[in-house]
Amino acid sequence: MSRPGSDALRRGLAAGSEPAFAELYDRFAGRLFRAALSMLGRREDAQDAVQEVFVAMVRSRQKLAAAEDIAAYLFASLRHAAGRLAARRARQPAAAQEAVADAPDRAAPAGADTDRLDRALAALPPEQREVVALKIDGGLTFAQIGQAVGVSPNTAASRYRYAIGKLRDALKETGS
Amino acid sequence: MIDPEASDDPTELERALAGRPGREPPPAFRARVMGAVSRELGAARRRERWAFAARVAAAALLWLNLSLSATIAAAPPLPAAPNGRAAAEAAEQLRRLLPEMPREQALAYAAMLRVGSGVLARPTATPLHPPRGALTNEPTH
Repeated sequence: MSRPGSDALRRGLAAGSEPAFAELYDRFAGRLFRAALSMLGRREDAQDAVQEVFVAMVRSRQKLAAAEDIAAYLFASLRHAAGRLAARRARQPAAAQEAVADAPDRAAPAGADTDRLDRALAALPPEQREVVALKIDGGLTFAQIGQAVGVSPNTAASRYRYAIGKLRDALKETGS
Repeated sequence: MIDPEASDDPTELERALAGRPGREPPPAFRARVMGAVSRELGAARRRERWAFAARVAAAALLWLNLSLSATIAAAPPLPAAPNGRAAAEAAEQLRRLLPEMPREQALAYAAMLRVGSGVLARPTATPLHPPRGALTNEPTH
């Protein structure tokens, strides 16, 4: 059975080749960044988390190259990095945390719908928010999400359904 | 415009979530990440080189230790304490050569000389050519 991720890329990653890591960046950085932004809410934190993932991948390049699914492995690492950053944020003064929750960070001006979505997403429990981030921003399947999060694909799908239901309810409330 | 009342189908909501603007990493971010990757790769290579050097040094030390142990195990045993009578004879000979030497000192020197002669390597002499008359494989004419 062939594993996702080309053999040449895996060999390059295992050997510590910079072009292989550049290819890994080009393939996954956008998705990782968007997922990190959904999980953390701040561009600066999302950038830190993604950079942390790539540095961690250099350190564990043999495991990455041998991983059954490179995408699931990367997003599992992102989840840990995001968790560490969130814990760091939680230790910061309350005013700074409120600033993060009240003003989702973005590069371009957002419409009212986007702001409502961001707020509704930020209000989700973390385990549901991360499943939405991994599915929508990361483009992972429920099987990959299960691998990254450490739950069964059914549990991942069920968390996603709950999250979507809550988002819809939140949008109804704010839309009325 | 998102209309959550429209249907229970999550597709519209998913599309709206995926289409939120301004969610791309900044253009300079690639250089920042690749710089960090490059530094980490360099550090990892240095760590690997040191680990290799440490393994080589450990192997060399082990080899040295084993060789010394083997040499010590294969060395001939130290001679027993010098024979009292032989040492006394040697001391007498020394005193005949150097009459002014005190008896105790001559005995000590004699004992040391006998111990030293035992410690010295004594290679077994093997003749390069067999003694005359010994049987050999060489053709005879």
